[in-house]
Amino acid sequence: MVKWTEEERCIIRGVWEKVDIDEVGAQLWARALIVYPWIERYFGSFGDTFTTTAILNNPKLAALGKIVLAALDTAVKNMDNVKGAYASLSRVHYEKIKVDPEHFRLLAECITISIACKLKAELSPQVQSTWQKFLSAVVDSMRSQYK
Amino acid sequence: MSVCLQRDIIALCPFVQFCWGPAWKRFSTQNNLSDATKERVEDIHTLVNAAIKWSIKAQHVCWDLSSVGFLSVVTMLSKKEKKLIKEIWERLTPVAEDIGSDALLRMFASYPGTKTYFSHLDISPGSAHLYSHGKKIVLAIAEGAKDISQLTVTLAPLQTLHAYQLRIDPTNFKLLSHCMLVTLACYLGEEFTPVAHAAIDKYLSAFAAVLSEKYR
Repeated sequence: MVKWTEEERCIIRGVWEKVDIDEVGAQLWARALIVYPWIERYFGSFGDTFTTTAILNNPKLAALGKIVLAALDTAVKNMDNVKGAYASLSRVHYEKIKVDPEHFRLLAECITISIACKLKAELSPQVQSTWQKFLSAVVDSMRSQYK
Repeated sequence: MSVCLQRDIIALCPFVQFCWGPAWKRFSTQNNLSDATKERVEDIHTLVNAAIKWSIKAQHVCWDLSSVGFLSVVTMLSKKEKKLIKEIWERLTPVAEDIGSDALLRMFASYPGTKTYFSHLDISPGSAHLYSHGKKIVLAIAEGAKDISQLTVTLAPLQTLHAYQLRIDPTNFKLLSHCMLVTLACYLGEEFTPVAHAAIDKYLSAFAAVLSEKYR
């Protein structure tokens, strides 16, 4: 279980408050697929994901981005027990979707960079460090049911 | 997908290899191809790559990257990407100190283990050492970006320095690269598009790989 100081909680919530889930979510998977094209393996049923233009305009990817950030909202609200909150999500990603857990880390990096594009200087080195500590906890929770 | 269609797509692979290899460079020079023609061929190459990816996906086949050489061309930098990378790093050269020191500070904050390589410097925020070291790093990256095809030549002295003197574990290059990307995202905002992000990530990976070539 990760222990959070009051300051860290404040920082994480402060970052999250500034994130427009619809705006950032819509472009999240586009960024991930363009930067790490091999994760396309999970998107067989998503239609055209073969060119940059198609990826940027794919409505299913946009919708999935918003779902992911809505789930992240759950993590922010359950910081003290992300593992518990994400147990069933982790199981689904392992048993049904069969996601390589390394890809949780890649998506987390894309989330940080998308947020950095919006927040700019407000994402100072200290804030980034705390935010990444939070995302590591989320990634670990997503990996928790991989046995 | 029919076997015939897949066979046709795979038959395009030599074309794809040709377009990126030394044979293409010789061909385009000897035949004096105009820039417009070369660009059209390279656009076709991008489309063919997409078709190959589609054929692989439709068959749910996992291609081993090392055994199927043509796939490596998918990861190489296109002319457009090289141009984009060069332009971005040219823009960052005048603010090299700010960019470099910011990336280093982010790395020290998020990955405290990296500080162990800097015990001989004052790396506190705003220190002269931090600015000068950050500037050196950004200028080296910008220098490499001017002609990416010559990266091994450009980085030869730095390769020796890192392999025999600094001996920074190469896993740390990934950490600095990530922080550099965050710095660029903060500096460029919406201009740090997914395409720019991908191009620079690839470039920084290549840079790090060349830097660690002499390690063993």
